[in-house]
Amino acid sequence: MKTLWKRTPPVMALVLGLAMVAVACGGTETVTETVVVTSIVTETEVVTEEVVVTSIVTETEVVTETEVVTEEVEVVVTEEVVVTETVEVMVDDSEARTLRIAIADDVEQLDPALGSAQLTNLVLKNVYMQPVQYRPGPDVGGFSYADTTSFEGQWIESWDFSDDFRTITLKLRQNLTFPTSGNPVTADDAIYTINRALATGPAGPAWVWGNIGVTSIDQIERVDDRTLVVHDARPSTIVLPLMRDQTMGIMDSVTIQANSTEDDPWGRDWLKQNYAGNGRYVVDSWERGSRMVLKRNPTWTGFQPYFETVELLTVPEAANRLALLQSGDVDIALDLSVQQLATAATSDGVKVLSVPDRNGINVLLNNQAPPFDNVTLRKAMSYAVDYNAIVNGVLNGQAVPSQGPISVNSRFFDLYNLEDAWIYEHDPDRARQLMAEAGYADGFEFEMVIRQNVPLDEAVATNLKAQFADLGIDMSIRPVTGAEMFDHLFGLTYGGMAFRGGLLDYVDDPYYQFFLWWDSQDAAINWTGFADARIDEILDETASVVSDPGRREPYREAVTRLVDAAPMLWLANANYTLAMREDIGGFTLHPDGLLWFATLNRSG
Amino acid sequence: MTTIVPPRERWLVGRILVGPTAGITVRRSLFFLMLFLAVIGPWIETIGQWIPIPVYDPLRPDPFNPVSPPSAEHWFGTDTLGLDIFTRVIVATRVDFTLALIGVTLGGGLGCLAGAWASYRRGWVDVVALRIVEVVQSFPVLLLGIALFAALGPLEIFGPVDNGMAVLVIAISMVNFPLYLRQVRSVLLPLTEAEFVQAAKCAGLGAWGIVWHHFIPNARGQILALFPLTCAYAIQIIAGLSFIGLGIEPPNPEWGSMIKTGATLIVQGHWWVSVFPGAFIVLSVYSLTGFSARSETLVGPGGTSA
Repeated sequence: MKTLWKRTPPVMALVLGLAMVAVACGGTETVTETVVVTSIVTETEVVTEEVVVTSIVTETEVVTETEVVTEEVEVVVTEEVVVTETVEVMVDDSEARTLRIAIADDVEQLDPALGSAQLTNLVLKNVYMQPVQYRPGPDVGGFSYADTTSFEGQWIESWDFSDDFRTITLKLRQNLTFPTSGNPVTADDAIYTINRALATGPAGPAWVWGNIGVTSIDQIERVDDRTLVVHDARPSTIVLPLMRDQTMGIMDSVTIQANSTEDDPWGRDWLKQNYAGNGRYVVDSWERGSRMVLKRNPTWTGFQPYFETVELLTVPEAANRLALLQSGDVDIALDLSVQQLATAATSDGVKVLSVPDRNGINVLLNNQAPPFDNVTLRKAMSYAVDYNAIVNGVLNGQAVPSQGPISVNSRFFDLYNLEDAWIYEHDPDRARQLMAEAGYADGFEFEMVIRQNVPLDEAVATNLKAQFADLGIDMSIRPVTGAEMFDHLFGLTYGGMAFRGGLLDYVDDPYYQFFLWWDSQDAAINWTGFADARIDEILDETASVVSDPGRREPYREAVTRLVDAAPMLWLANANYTLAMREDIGGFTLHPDGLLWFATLNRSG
Repeated sequence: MTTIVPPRERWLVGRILVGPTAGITVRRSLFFLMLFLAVIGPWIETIGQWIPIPVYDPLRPDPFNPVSPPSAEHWFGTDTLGLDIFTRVIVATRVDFTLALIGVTLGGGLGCLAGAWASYRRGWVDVVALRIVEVVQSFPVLLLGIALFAALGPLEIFGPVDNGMAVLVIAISMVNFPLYLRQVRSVLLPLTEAEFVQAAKCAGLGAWGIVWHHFIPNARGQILALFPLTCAYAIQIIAGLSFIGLGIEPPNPEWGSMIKTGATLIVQGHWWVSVFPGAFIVLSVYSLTGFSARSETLVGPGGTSA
């Protein structure tokens, strides 16, 4: 007995070491470790040979977790069972199957009909199931683009358009259930979801359904348990691309109705905090402001995502997100600045994916107020911009110069041969000449509105200010809050220019772009106040044309007219950038830029 | 009519600034250096053409050279936009000093008058003045600044004056008003019944005449001791508000906003973006507080000369 007591310190040391291994190594260790532990508990002589333990702990440098281990040692001395439990964690590979992502803000809410911030949309897309999604395209060097011409059914299994594209028959996928309630997914859920969308509009899914042509629930016919028919749909090229929208997730009608009240018949308040979907991932827990945990959907019988758990950790400071990525505590860090991405790219164990994308870095001009109601002056500004300084300086080469409203990285840019529509380059002499023609030979003053505390906004604005100053233009910069910015944009109350980096059309299609931005009557975001009767005509003429040969010439004309009128400064198409650990693979870029977890894996 | 000001207190400001002293030579040198930088700030580029120091346009970014460390070309390095930090900390000196000076003078001046008036009139005037002081002082300084920017920021009521700068001056004035009011009131309260005040009243001098000619001069020592301290405090307030994005319009140089630019870069090892503007704040505050000590040495309690 006395000998045993003498040996207690080595036993404790051993258990401490092993516990540290358990904590530090997580699930990456194998069963062989279990054997060693069992023998150590019963035979204390094995203590000194565990050199490996120390080295592993040193490599991982998880200081805070060491403190936890100390507490575990005290338990182990009195109760050996605890040690066994710790070891059991080691054989589990849940750590490797957990994807940790550092995000900048908390998710706003969980109602697909209300999402707006990019991060919220990202989560809604993954935790709700849309009618269809894009198929991943071929691997193009460690990542792939979604194939925007090819769709796979999600909650619908198949779809069939009538010859005139006005009737769509939707077949629902069989044997789907909502994992949190166990309720089966039925045609009634689909009708409830569409009805709820239309009733809670006009934004979100009501807007999407409206553009598909569905404005009344009477247009949806329930043929049987698995079949729905959409009547009087609007023929267009974007019906299926709209059906993949993150707002289109099917909802558990039974659960939502059970949580609805007389004052809130569609359960909107309940759904802000709660979850009633069946995406590839389901919401497991949500600690507001700090952490959301998603689990792989156990009821999905198709292709299984690699990661069983996705943890979204709210880390407001970008520098901290970068530090967590560098230390390996998270696998992906979202929303890093250009400089931080450059730092990440040189860090051990970290890679930065930089993928050509349609992301617009644009400056909006107020076309309805002086001085930029003058088209000649707008063109002068387009010649005054040093595009190279923005693309290769401010954006550190992670972009290409823009060439008009349709991104150079859109498949339609080449398809419609839009290269020759672009006329602008950095030409200060031409800018001066046009300024003189516009009656501003001696320069002028105006104000640019930017978002507060957004490094990209400040960088672009500061550079443009210096470039314009060379032409005698005095540009002042006014940072405003995000809400104020929206007020200015929708109310057209900004003085001269407003900068909005990161403008991305969720659907890569010229029709989508034009009815969103340039329809003088109905554009959802006509933030420049631009109006052109001929462009309106072209839009009306091509709205129902569902083949690209028929749209090519009209859209070439529309783009040429738009470029010539210069309603905004198209500066650059920025790459989609994502900083992640080196062992993360399977990334697929969707046109909406919303990270799709289902294809990600740990391949390194 | 004479004031109760001993002859030795003439030239008091001059003696504080340049008079012989043993203790504050270093601080005083620093202060004059800062003052010199504040004066030459706007012409720094021109000066750079005459003497070989690497100065640049403080508003012209070099997007191809962001976050470069201190070097012969950029003594203090460059920030995230490629702006030269050495040039910008010098140019910012005038901005910070001027705003602090105007704000403190305005708020302090009004505070002195109100304090002297309250101590002379007493009664409800005194009560109202003190309640106003308590209300203003009950707000934390930054919160007060944020509220002012939220209320006055979008109004554009200051004409050609930069809106952000005008609100900063108002914020500093509001912070300083109660400080001076309390200080002056506490010093002058015992003088209300003094013989020279009674004499002045008998001589037919009006209330404002008594306050202006007899009360305020007696608080001059305290005011002069408080002034550099509150200027130093004001510089910190300006930097603090700019740090959270309020005040000076970007990309105009200001120490607080410059620190903010570099705050998130420190963990990546890019220390120079924040450290140099931070050092200038420390040095300016350090230099200013020296004069407060000097004033206290020269002026004894109760406003008489030591």
